[in-house]
Amino acid sequence: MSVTASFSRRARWRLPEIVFWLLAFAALLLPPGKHLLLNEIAILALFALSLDLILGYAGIISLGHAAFFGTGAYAAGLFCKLVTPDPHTGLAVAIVVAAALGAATSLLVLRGSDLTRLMVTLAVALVLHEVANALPLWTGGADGLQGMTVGPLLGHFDFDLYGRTAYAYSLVTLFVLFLLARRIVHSPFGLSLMAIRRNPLRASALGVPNRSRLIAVYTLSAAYAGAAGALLAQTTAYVSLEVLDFQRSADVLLALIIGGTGWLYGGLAGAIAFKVLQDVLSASAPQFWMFWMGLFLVVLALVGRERLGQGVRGLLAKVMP
Amino acid sequence: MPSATLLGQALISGVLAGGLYGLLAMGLSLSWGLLRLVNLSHFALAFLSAYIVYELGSTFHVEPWWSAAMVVPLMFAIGAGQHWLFDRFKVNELASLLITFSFAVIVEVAIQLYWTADFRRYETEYATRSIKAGPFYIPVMELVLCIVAGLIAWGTWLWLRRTYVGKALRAAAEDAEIAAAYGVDHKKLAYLLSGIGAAYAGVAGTFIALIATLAPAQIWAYLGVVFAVVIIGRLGNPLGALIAGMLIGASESLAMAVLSPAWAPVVSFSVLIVILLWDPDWL
Repeated sequence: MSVTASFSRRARWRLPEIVFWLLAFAALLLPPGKHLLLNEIAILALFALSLDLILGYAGIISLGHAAFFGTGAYAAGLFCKLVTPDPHTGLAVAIVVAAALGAATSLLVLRGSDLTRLMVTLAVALVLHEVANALPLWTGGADGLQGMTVGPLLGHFDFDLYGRTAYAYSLVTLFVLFLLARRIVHSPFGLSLMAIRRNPLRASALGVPNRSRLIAVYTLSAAYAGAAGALLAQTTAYVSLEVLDFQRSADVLLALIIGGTGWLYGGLAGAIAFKVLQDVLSASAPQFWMFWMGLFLVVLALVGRERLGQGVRGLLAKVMP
Repeated sequence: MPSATLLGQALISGVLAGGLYGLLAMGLSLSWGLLRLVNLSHFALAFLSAYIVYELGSTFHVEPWWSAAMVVPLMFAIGAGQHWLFDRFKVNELASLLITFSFAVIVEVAIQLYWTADFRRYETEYATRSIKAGPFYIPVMELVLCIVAGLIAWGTWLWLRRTYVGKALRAAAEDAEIAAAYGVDHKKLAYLLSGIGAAYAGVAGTFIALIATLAPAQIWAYLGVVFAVVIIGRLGNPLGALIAGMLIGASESLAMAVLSPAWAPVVSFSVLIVILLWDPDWL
């Protein structure tokens, strides 16, 4: 079989994928009550997807991905307040602003070793957090950006209290951007990224322009994170300093790790698991949610995903022969 | 422009406050630089020590120095125990980040359960004492901290530089296999180093209990600054960590005096970003 055929086979749509998206859209028809949570899941999923683009495909670990999420959120919020309440242009503007920041900071991030990278991503996010805190005239500081009135979707669907419109908006955005990401990672560009991640030296020997490819994917990832931030700002009509918190960067990394990196659905699955568990566990005791999360991660990181999967399967086989 | 006295006082307070950054950074720098493990739980261990010192001091009226004598060996044991886990499961950098983050979260929850999320303040007679030198005030506790941090940094630096164990450690960090071929038992040494790193968290924790207000969420307050200090001071270099800590402390404090308090945290990261852009050869 030719190489082209094997790659195009990998890019083909499979049944579980189609079922997954049908279910996600079918959730719109659920009776009101869970759409706010679903909206949060869709936003976290998009955010995790953006992190997967750099971590899973290009091997760049980021401890400060909230920088782009927050930039997108503030850009969308300020654009809505100062220019026009139309959500679509707001989303586009947020994407452009976040991408610009991504392109600018990629030059910093690509310097130095893996560990320095880690530090730089963290530093960029913390600097933005402090800048947002120190400019209350623009961002509202610790009180948050208030007084956003987001216009109706497509001109006549208003954002309601139950969050159905919000979920529809976030889900469609997620789906469109997911399709794009799926196309990109299966393209020669995406394959070259994976080559860089596995062996940068060999990739550049084969003629892959490592640096410009990494800058491109970092910018793309920033744009996605900015879109996720804009969705949060527009669907909640509020932006607080929390959008730039370290906690947010940590959460998205955890969600992605739970779902697994490097297959795009990892971010989505992780976001669902993370938010649903958080919703269920924190209803009873908020501290214990973090405790179980921590314990689960220790086991996951120590034992490894494959061995954990095998262990569970082995256990199931013993219980149900 | 603020007066010369204010600037001088800001400089002194900044350098002294930076001593704590340096002390926290030292343990982190050792495990990061020599073991290639990023230990996010370092801060959690420091705060756990601080809470233990606080509890022993305010409930049982144990002098903080005696509490430190108990806490530091305990932390050494915890550090060595952590390393057993890392060694047993062959943990790499990313996984070490995750695992120690989770440790930190678990310790945070434990602290919250036992001491609640309220702010705690260890009331001692030492805390408020200060020396007056000319127009400036020097808080005694922070001066002691800086002296202790300086001694530890100097001692560790000499130990790594001059003794066989220190040289073996640095050799193993450079190339574990070749070092092993020359008879360096780097696994055993790694336990020692991991324990020492955690013991430094115990020392830092004792001082945190004495000079700061404690709250579980404070664990994360030092993360960014101390990471910056570790990088600026060069990985694995205790003296560098202390000097970088004082540099950052002084620049934060000066920014607070000249600009406004809100801008202080921006300073350390801006210094870091400038240094990374400048890209000196020691990075």
